[in-house]
Amino acid sequence: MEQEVQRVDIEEIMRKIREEAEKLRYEEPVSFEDVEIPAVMTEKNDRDSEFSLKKAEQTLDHINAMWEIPYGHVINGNPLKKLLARLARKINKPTGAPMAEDITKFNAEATQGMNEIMKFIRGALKKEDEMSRRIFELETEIRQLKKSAGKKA
Amino acid sequence: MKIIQLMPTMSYGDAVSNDALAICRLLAESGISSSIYAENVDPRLKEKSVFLLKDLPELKKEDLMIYHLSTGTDLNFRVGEFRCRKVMVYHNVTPPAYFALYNRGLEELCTQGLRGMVHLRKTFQTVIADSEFNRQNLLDAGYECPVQVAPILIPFDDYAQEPDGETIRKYSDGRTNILFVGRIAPNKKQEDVIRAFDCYRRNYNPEARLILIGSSFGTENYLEKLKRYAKMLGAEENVVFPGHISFRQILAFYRTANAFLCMSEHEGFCVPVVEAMYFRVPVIARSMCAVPETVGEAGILLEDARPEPAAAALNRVITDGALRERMAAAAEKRLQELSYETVSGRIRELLLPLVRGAEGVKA
Repeated sequence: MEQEVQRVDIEEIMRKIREEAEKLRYEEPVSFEDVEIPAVMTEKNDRDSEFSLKKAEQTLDHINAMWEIPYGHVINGNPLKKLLARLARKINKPTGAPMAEDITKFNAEATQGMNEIMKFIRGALKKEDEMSRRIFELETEIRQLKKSAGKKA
Repeated sequence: MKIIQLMPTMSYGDAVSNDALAICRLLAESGISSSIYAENVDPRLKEKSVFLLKDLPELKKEDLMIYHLSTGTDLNFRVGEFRCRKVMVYHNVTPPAYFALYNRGLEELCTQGLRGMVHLRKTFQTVIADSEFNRQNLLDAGYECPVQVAPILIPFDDYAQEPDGETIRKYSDGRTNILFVGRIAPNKKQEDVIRAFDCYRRNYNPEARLILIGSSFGTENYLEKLKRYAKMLGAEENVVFPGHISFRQILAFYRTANAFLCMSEHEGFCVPVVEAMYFRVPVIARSMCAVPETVGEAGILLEDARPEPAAAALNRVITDGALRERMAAAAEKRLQELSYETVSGRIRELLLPLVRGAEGVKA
């Protein structure tokens, strides 16, 4: 019974909202689709900010997902466009395919190098964390020793 | 018998990582020890049960692996090679088309994620999906194993922390605050939130403020486009993008919000609407994907993205005290269904038979 009352309530609220919406006048001055997508680098103005492990890992995830450059991308479009694109691809293949292969080889090496650097960074951050903890423990010990030395005096 | 959770990355404060930690905790509460292994582990995570994948011991067929899938990774194509029993927790992968105009890397990552999800369709004994929507995704991809639904385990205790005082003071200036929390990403349709807000402010409340909280890493050009859009609507002074803020500041924004508006077009669960309910902020959300099942009857669900019904709904929840009270009562009921006790009970129900079902297992 309580659920039924609640349902009627919601229907009533929605009915009032729809009625009110009918009375509203809204003309969008500009459509979102018409706003240009700005060419923003993903690390825009960020060269001076602090190192962010999360950002570095996310960028590396993206690089690991897209290092391979296949010569043949899926061609979308109408049948004529597809045919012309396939033809152009076939004509360019003797020069295009080896170039894509060279780029892929370089990307694979660069990606592997960056993955190794990331391993080093993580290791270094872990060591730094351990050192900070040890320093904190030693500082606490020193404070306690000073306290006991002060009491004895 | 070893029980391990496996994922590509254990991040700090991320929903999927929090879910894994919560599962670890609830297994421990049942007297079962488990560990989490990931290819990448954020060094800020101090949990003793989190390790790097390279340190994973050999898994035998009686061991149990709980795999978290939420993104594209090589790991999706290697999971099947492990000899142990396997369960998956599926958090959903955003359809790649959303990123086509903004970030080819993200588009490729999501494409890989969906390919991985399909590749794994015969790998698991059982799958836990965060929502019925996610469950249906898996069935559509050809999953024939049992796919059960259990909501995300949300760390409600964290929300009791002290909110940031300065933010509270700044945003308690008498202006109406409308909030949306979620990654600045095309599937979240922040442009529709801005459009609905613009309709609201022009028709009802010119001084109102819209606060859009979320990280824009990887979608910086989408964020810039949203800012330009708000400026072209004449709402530059009313639309706030706080950018990278602390958890206590996020709590402060929830505490000063008068309404939560979600126009997402794709969500696998949508934790922020639950957070809004927790803070008694009335929720208005577009009824898409997993959002209606997460909201239940605790919010106002919009049939489409038209700005007029959203604006009318905003005005109603902001001006009608009795309606807000009824919504708060409905939210309270919904929160009980999503509480740690209820959801962890459900997950235990699904996992414990698998844990205890192995030969010679003492759990």
